[in-house]
Amino acid sequence: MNDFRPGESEKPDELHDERLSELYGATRDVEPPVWLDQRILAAARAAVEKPRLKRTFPWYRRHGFPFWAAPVALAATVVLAVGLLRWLPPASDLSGMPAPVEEKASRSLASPAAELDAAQAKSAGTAAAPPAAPDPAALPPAKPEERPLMRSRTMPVESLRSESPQAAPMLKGAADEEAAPVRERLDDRSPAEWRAEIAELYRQGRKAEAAALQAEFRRRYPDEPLNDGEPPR
Amino acid sequence: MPTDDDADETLMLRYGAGDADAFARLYARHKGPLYRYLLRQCDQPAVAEELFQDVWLKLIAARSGYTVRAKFTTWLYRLAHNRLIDHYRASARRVPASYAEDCPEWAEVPIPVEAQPENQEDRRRQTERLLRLLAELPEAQREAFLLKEEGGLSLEAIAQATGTGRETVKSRLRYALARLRRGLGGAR
Repeated sequence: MNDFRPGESEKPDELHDERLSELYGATRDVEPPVWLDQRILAAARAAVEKPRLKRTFPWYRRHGFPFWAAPVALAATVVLAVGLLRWLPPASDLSGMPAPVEEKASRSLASPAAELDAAQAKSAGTAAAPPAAPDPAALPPAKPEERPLMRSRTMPVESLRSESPQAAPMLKGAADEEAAPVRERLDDRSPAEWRAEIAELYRQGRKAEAAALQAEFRRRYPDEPLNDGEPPR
Repeated sequence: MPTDDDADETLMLRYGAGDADAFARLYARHKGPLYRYLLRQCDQPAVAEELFQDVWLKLIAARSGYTVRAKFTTWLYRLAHNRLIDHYRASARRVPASYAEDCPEWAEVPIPVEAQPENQEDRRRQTERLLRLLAELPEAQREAFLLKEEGGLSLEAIAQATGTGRETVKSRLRYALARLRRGLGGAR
């Protein structure tokens, strides 16, 4: 401990006395009290651990939330979202809703299908994209009494298959069993029958299907009027 | 011999970087000498404890700005010296006259009667006498002796720690040693 160096010019015994140093060394049994040691060491540790806490713990720990708060909140969000989706009625039941809500619902059902069809057409390399129409796979199963009309849902798929052979493998299996009779039905149908079927769908409140059929009609018969088939505004 | 990793300055730098264990080692190494230095200088344990705590807290607060410009002990005892002077200024005693550079009392302070040379064979009694003699020294001379014995500081380091000249420190130390020798029986 003692590295006392008097220097070159000082006589060693003038500034250092070995006997005095030895005697004073016997008085070195006095130490600070233990409580003071603990207090100072705690202060020293706290001074360097404070910033480390900020770096280590996530935001919800710093704001006083318990460690399980984040996982529980995440699980609750997932359960609520799944429950809400399961609670919502299927698309076919939306026809009973008031008009504005039903229109929104039909738009929301039609848009993904249109996007899907556009993507399919693009990947198939077709120059002209087919008109927007609901995807058969995205629609709920039909009731037995609606069977003849529900067949029309396969029209966009079939028409896409017939006009763009490249897309056919992608759509294979969508409605293979019904493809031949439906094509025959559509090919045989006159514009007046198209309009009547569209009007019937609107009358039944099945606007999504009516809109799909209407779009197909416009594609097939661009010069034919569709006024008497349009829904009353 | 302490290695570079074990040197006071290295430990203090490590503490400044967030290593609390480095501080614990520094504290264990210097707590006794620093406490005894303060205790001998103010002679009241409660005051010494307060000053002791203040010095370490000041060191803790200064950890991030610490750079090695002198020996760690020189810096530590400079903090302690400054805190002691603040204590003197705040108390009724004011700063002792012995801290003046040209204090005239050095050569004139009489040797206490009980410190006259005696034939002391008992080491314990000699130790007690040494502590009494030490307490009777003027503060500045006692400080020079304690910084040498407790802090292990050189003349230059004592001068830096106390903010005085090297020659002044030498005079104070010479005076303190001469007085203690005479008080213990004129062994030299």
